[in-house]
Amino acid sequence: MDSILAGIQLALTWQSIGAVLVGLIAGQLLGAIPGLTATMAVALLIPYTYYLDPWVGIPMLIGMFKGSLFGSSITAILVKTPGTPAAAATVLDGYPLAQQGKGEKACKMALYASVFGDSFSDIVLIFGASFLAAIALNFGPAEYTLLVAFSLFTMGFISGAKMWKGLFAMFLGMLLGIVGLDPVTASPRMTMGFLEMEEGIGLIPMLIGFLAVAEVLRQMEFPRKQLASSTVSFSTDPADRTVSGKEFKQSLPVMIKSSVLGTAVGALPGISATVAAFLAYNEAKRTSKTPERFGKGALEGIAAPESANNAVSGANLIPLMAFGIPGDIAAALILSALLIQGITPGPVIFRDNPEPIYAIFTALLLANLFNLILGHGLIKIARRVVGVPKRILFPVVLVIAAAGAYAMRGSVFDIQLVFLFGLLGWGLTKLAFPTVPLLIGFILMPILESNLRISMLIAGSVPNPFGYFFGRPAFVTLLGVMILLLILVLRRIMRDRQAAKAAGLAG
Amino acid sequence: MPTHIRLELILIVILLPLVALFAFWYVPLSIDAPQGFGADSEISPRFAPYLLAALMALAMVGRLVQLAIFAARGTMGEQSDDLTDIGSGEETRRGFVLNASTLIYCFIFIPVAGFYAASVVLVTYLVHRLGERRVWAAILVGVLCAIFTYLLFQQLLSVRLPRGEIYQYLRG
Repeated sequence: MDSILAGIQLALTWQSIGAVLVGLIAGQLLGAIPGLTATMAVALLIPYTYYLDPWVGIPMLIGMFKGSLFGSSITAILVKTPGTPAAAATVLDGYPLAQQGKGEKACKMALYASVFGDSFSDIVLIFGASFLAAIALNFGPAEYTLLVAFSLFTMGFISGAKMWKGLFAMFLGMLLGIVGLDPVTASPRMTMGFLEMEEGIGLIPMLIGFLAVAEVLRQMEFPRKQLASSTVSFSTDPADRTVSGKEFKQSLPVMIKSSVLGTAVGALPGISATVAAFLAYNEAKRTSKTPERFGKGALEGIAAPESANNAVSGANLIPLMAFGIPGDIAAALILSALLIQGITPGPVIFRDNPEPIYAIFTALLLANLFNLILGHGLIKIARRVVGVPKRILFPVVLVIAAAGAYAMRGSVFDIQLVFLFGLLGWGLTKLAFPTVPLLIGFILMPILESNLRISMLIAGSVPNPFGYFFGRPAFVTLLGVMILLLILVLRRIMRDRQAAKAAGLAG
Repeated sequence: MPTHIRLELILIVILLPLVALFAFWYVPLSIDAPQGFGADSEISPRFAPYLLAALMALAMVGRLVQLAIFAARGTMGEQSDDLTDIGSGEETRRGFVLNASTLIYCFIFIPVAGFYAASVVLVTYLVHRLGERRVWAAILVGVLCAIFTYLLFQQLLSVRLPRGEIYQYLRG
């Protein structure tokens, strides 16, 4: 109890609260600029948190992430440009509403649904993570190997249209993750003679290169007219600008169901918010009494994907906090910021030094509350923000990306890495290879390799190597749970794909 | 055979030998296996690269087998096309030029002219290239961007961004 109170106190200083507010405002504005994704915005901010006190930097990052998620929904609704892939499902009903002049109403529905889904999954995280962490304390290298391998394989299998490309990208990321000195023998591996590479490839240049530079380069090649700003008209009728109590009540069951779905999906490492958003959208449409309204501007069509994708973002922190394993790229970004500040999430921190974890939980809930309040202000200025011309924005983003990468270690080599990874990311995107499995593979490889090699050493030293693995109750239970979860999720995805295919054929 | 499947096959035909080259040439040549930690040991430094190369090859061979099955069943035409959104040839060409300009920026301009001067040149060039007809406006964006970076890094965060060889030379 003392730890909980100490954690809450850490997050309730005026500096932390101010940091959440600043992060939220910056995140909402950056997220609302077409072309700047939420992950890109956060990746650009991470190096700066290094210069701040941990309890200013981390709350700011949390605020920024939540703000940018909502901001990216605004671009999905108003200019049909989802700031994140997860907001793609929001376009389906959000953009038709904006075309009817009801963009403000659609944005407000997205705000309420986002905050609802986010708060729901944060509460599940707060109560679920410590319980899982207590279980994780019994885990050894064999269980960690299994857990990380499971995260990687689900990520590789289900991201992207072609499974082999997802797997290939993931293995490529894992290869990049082993560059540097070998953890056991200290032999240089794949360093190509560069001394800078012996420390390994920096996470920040990698994230900025793949998430910001590659995306900017991809968008800069579009025809010039696409790089001009878009405009949208807003109705002056008050009924078209607000969500009434009745409309909110009608959407509430959809929000609850989608939040549960998003939380369940998000707690599994590797399954993206995009999958959850589309699953929730399909479910809302399937169970609606008037499914024909979907796709033409139904408020439930915004409430479902928004609550689901925001619920994923909170739930993705469950494997991060409990096991130290990021569930998706958002969690990976938060992990890198925590590591920069000297905080290593995982089961041990819950036992030995839980204050930072409770401070993070408090910051998450605070950010939700402020997001709701500030979101209304953002919607009012959205019309101006969505008009920033991309031809000015993108070159500036490249310079900020380069400066951010340099600031971490003061090395021009890191700037060069950023643009080399930008080129690699751009090339992979052109060939339809998903980049998220690559980044997760890169982050998880060191954990996997050290645990795998220790497991193999132990297994090699006993008469029956298989007996070492299958003689451990935790390993067998974990394996059983994972197989069951995988079957359930894959069945659901297959069923939805078949339904979508059938609907497409019928249409 | 659909074009996207043909492109996929070409990609695999290029990548498979590259992975083989990595496993059979690059790894043995570049990664030492010290005494007692030989290549056959489970804790050899070569263990992970070999494993990953094998898995990469397996993913591609698996796809080839899958395509062979589709061809045998005559369902090749029903396969989803993931290469439709990758852009036209003109866009790809533009992408190469943009990538080349960012590489020149980080490998030549920054080390030689310093971060601020290099950034003014890059931003001006890109803003103009992306459709800003007024050259003065493009230069203005470049200068404002450099000023913003200077204020944020040098003044607020006390980070000295690289000054470049020319500055060092002029300072003697």
